[in-house]
Amino acid sequence: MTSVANTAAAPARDPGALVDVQNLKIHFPILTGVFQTEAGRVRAVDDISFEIRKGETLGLVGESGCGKTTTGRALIRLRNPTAGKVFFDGRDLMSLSRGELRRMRRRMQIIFQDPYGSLNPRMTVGSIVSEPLETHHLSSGHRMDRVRELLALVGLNPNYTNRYPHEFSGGQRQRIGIARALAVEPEFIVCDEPISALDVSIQAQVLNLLVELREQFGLTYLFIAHDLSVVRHISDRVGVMYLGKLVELGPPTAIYESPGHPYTRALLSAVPIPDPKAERKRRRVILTGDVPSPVNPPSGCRFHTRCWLYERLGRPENCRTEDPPLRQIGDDHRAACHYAEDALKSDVGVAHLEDRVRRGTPAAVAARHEAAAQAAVPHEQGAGVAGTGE
Amino acid sequence: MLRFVLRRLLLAIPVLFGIIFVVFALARLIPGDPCRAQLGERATAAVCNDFIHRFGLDQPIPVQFGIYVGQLAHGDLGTSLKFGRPVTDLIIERLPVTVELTLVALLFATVLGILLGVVSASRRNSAVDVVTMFGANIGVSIPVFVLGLVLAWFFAVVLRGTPFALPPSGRLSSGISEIPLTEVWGLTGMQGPLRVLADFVSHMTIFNALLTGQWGPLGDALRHMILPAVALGTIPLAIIARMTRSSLLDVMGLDYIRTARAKGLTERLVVLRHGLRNALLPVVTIIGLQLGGLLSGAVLTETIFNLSGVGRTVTEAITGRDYVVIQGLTIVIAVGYLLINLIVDVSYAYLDPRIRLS
Repeated sequence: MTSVANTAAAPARDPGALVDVQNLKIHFPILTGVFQTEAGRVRAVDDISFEIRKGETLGLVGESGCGKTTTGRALIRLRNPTAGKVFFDGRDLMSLSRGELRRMRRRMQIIFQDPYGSLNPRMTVGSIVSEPLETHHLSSGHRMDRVRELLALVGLNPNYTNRYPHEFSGGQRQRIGIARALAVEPEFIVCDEPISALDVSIQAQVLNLLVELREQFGLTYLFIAHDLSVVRHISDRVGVMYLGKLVELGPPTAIYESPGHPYTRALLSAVPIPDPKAERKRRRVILTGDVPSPVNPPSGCRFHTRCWLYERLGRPENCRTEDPPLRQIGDDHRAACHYAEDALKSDVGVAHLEDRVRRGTPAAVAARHEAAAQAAVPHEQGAGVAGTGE
Repeated sequence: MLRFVLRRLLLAIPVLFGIIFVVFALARLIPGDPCRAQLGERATAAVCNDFIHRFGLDQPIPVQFGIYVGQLAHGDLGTSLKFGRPVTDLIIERLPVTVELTLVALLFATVLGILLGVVSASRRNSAVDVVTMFGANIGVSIPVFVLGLVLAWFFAVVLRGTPFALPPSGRLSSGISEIPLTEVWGLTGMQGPLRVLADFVSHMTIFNALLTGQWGPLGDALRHMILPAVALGTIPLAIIARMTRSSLLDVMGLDYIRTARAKGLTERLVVLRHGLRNALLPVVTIIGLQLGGLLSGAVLTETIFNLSGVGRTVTEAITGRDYVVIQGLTIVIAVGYLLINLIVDVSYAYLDPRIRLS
């Protein structure tokens, strides 16, 4: 390990946390040759810490391959981490025996990204949804009634229990996946890009369904996505990942209107705003080059090789040598950048109409917020998330 | 489903016709003279002319073919040049031996092969896996006749006198005989297709003993079957084990396996219910294909272990230029092969609901 351990980020235990992730690391060894010697390791998730509070929806965004999905799976221990701890309701998931873990699965579930691959093609919908009930000895006696109830809950015809997954469309299959996850009445659901494999017209329906279910059952979600507007729509807090690191964490208003990490600003820049006036005035940064390899991540701050702020500040040395910890930069707002204050002051990536108002004044902030709100409304509709109804 | 089966059966007719034609032509292309092959090198021309005329071999070949097809349409497979008996009788007597051998070999190969495949896949790269796959590689590479002779030598010669000795030839030990079920059940007076079926089953030593409760001969018949079945089943066993392993490893990497784990199922249920059931599809294909191989392997196995089945009869018929027997047996084997493939296709629909038979 060349990078400085991110120990400062370990937060004081939040009493409201349902899931508490501490210094989670997931590395995949690259094995080569006859003797399967380790030639290197992919640092898919490298020392991240955060918490998910009871009843909240934490959105997790980032580019493909940044470790979002791996993190999500480790949170319910579908994947064993290399190091670090995950506490679920105060219990260390890594210390559970196989039997204890299986019983714990009643309380935490996952909705997978791919509604096609994640359902066993050989099983009927009825057996897919009732299998968790059977395993956890729930609703014995009237299991099929419960299955029908669940199907109705997710908006499917309850009489479809004898059909096979291939007889359904993508959106319907995702509903089956949701019914399956809900069957055991979990408290926490990892939504692993639940809508990205779906048709745009279906995305809104499934998203609204997830929101309704959250209200109805008081669920806690980890919502993984790469669609920034969807995450904003559904989340109470948003985390941004880059190359296995959590670079920023905070409420959507902070993340979307005054991001404190240059990467977040670059991400926002990439989202077009369907308002030509705002779009023309907006300052955007386009990231060039590829994401560096997670096998050999850059030293210091992992983003410095592509960072516009680093260039603008004259390439400060600590960006190259020191791994920035995730630190408090505002109310419930954390970012992992040595120069987060400079990033906050910048206007890069954020949409606003009144560009000429001097920065920093309360009037400017208010104007910017208003502009962002205005820009965000059509923006959301464009992505098909503003509820179109079932 | 029924329509699918009927259509497949109809489609089999031209295939069957092609087979009849090719077999008929190939049999005539074997150099040599059926008369001299049957009656000896020194048979006189007059005797031979008579022989050839008696069996209609003096007719032009297209005419012979026409007559043969006409006979077939009546369910008559002709009369053996060598034995002077109807080929159907020969089949009822000898096919059961081959069918029995093939079934036992296939049962051995399938049960043990799938078991080994599942164990290797679920303990991937462990000692069990490495040893099994190493063994499978050897199993695939050993020719049936080598393995057969080695087994016969080891179990009948080296282990002679020990409790582990196994008989290397025949279906029953001398002095032991079975009463055919037709007699036990008092069916000796019966005629027609049911009688044919009863005779067929009664020639399968193991089934006959099982059905009539002759436990002593059953044990003896089973002991006689071990070596030939192992010799014949080893190659399919190795192939099935490898196929099961790789297919199961493929399936275990799929998303719905992760779903099954997320549901909180035990690993055993994940592997058996979600993994194996989906992994069996290619294995079933392989088993169906192996059956063809088993029939050809049966020729060698029957020769080594002195079993008078179809394989040995065909070999003898070829050396004796017994055209009628060659044709009759080949057609019966081809029909069997077509039926097996149909069964395999139908079983796909059971294994994978996405496949609709239409």
